Amino acid sequence: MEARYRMASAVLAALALVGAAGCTGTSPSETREAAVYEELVRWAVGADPTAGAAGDGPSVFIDSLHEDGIPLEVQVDTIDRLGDELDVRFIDDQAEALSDDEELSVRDNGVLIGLGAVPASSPVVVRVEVYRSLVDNSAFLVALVGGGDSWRLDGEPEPLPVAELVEDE
Amino acid sequence: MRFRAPSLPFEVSLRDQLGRLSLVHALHSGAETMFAISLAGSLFFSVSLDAARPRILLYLALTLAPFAILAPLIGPVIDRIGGGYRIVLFITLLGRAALAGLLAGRELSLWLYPLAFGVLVLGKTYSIARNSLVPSIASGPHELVRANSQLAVIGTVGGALAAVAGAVLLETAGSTVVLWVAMAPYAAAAFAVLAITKVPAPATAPVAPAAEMEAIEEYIELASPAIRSAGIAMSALRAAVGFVTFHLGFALKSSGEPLWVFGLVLVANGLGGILGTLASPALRKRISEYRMLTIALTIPAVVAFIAALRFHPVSVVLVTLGLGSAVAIGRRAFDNVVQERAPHGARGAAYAGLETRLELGWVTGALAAVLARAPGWLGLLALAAALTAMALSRLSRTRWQTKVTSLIGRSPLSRRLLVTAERLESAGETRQAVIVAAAAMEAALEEDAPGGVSAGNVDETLQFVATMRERAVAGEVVDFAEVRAVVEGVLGSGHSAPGDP
Repeated sequence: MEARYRMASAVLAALALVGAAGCTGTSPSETREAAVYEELVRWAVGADPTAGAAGDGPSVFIDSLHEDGIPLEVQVDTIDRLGDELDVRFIDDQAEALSDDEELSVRDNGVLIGLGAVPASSPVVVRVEVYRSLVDNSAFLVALVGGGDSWRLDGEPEPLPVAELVEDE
Repeated sequence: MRFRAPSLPFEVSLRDQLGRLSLVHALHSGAETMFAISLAGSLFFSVSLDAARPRILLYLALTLAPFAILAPLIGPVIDRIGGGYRIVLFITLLGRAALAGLLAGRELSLWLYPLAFGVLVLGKTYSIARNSLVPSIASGPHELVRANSQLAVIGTVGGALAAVAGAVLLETAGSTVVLWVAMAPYAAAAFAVLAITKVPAPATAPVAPAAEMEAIEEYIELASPAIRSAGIAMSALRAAVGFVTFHLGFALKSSGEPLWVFGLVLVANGLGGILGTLASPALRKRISEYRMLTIALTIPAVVAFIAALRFHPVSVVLVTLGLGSAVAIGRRAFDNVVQERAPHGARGAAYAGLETRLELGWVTGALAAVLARAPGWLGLLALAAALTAMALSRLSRTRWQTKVTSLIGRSPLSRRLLVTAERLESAGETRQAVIVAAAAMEAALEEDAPGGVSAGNVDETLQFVATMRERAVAGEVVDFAEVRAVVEGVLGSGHSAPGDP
């Protein structure tokens, strides 16, 4: 009896594994968020043509500017969209992105991009911070237009005072 | 074909079973290493760990669940199938070849998690089946230890060769190609399993009385304090490996260490394994297995403590080197204990159950690391504290055991039998306890126990205890406390009849 119970539990566990394995897609809202981030990252990296070694896409480290963080599905979709051109890495800890030099510059001559939350409805305005070192960083409010899978910048981004994406301790 | 490795205490021949299993294991280790290397180009290094943590926890829990639920069933089920262990090896190897192929090209998708954890589950099942197969194909005294040493060294060599090839492929062709290539040694290992001839199962169903007795003997031997103590120590070491794998993986990623540091950590672990395997025979000549296991717990405790003081890639490499050697030393000691103390239990279903519990230790340690997500230094400090506590508890138990053994050794047989009966009772074996207590009383009378024993009392007491023993043998419920009180009376302040105040 106990053996049967155990076997049934094991089968249920296996089914749960299969069920969980099925959760590998993204929802429309996640796709929308990833598409917005794709456009923002392209703009932020494009704003600095010197970033990255010649011939290679620059290393792009992405940190969330909002408390909830960027969901895994959105991260994966963003990487999927940009992966062929850029080496994109989402980080939890800025130590992952910064080198040990005095200016706390980004590793591999890369760029650290802070991305704010994407509003669920229009207008879509997102805070973006672009950091290369303590002496080379900027912040913007970026408006976007579009929908679903396709977004573009709406006008010139509005410069903002730089917040503390990276603090000099 | 016959190879003899210089300065190694074994030679490998593909004509014998162990040689064929060694080939399987070398190919398997190579494939595993390549699979691990391919993860360098995967989502693991591209997404934030905080976002990935719930998914890693989910899959680790799902990895744990089948082993936790099926631990007592895996061995008997495998035993029932003719050549069960070979079939399991074949399926797990071929399954991983398929999963590696499925993952190729999907390393940067969410498919990474189910596929990688599928590989992990099959890997754990492979380890259980392989370790359970070894005792059946290794015969003669100390063969289990020698065979496992041989497999450990050959596995490390296979892994090292694959590491070089994998690293070159990753750099030149990318992780997808590494996964495609990893399929080859997995599949080759699966087909190499077929060369291992069928090993007769020791306790097959339907169970004949003799086989049933043998199966019971296995379980009794493997439940002995020596094996249990060795099993707990070995589980702790396996848990430490699971913990370190995830804790250091997370910590190194968070501190932005380059990929070559991860590679160095893998190499250090393999090197530690070889050093531990080579050092074990010399250690065994000087100290007992019990002390070897205590030392095996102490080495990573000390190294982890030192590394916690200054968390740095070099200290991380030292931790994995120390842990690798400790696990190898622990494994040799564990094999020795099983070989010497449980000659019947060292094979078959019961042994598979033991191995399953060791793998459960690994998954539990990994879960703890992901749940805690502690800073690098703090996790190592916690690991050092846990292993130190275990080592100290073993040391204090050694002293206590020495004292008790000396006291018991000086006490009469009747008293020792009564102590054994009390232990059986506390283990829930009341019927056995009553039978042993009855034997204690007979021994006491032979020893001319103290106290004014009158002939009438002796007859009455003997009859009472004999009745209780018969009832216990017949499977009836018997009150051990009552029997003990009577026997105590004979052994202690004088002989008391049942019902006496």
